[in-house]
Amino acid sequence: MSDTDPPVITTPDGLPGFDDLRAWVLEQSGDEAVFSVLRSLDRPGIALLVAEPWQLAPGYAPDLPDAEMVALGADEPDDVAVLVVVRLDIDSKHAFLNLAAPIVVHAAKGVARQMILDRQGWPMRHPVALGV
Amino acid sequence: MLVLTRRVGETILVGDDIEIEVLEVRPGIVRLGVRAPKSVRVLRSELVAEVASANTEAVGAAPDMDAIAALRPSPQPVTRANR
Repeated sequence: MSDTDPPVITTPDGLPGFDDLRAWVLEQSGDEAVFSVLRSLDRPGIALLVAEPWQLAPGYAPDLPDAEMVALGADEPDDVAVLVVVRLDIDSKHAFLNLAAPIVVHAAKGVARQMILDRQGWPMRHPVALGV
Repeated sequence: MLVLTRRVGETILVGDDIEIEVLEVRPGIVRLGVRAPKSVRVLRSELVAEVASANTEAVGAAPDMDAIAALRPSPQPVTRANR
């Protein structure tokens, strides 16, 4: 592995819909790109479009559940980075952010979990207009 | 599957520290209360299925990296729905 390869992120419990996939890499699409790709190392062709939510969805303030943080092995909220899964709809020029289930990454440990935020009221398909 | 009959106000213990109480029964609906340590995840099952299908949809629509790099979204403030 060269110095420029992105680090491997493991999801010990998989992700919903991809329960058997454990190893991923986060690929930046460009220096100023808003979206990244979480690409499966276990199954070629599987790649999730993801983004940091803070700029795209101002006001988003997820409450990461204690049980999930324990499962991730994170002691402090500052230890983790938050990504959200994005579905692109090119026809309507919109991106839809899943704010109800962020993927939380503990970069230092190289692990991640998708945390389902029940009863917090964050939408699963938050629309963001795209100006390409 | 273990099958138990309970009345309103009665409880079930799961392990040492998880307690499930039947709060209310109406035709077609049961309200349950769950007392569990904060370290235990409690979720409605269908929510996991919804997230799974949202993930699957997101994979199907991913374009190539050059196209992704060119995308410039217009941020959209988010508010919580009523819970």
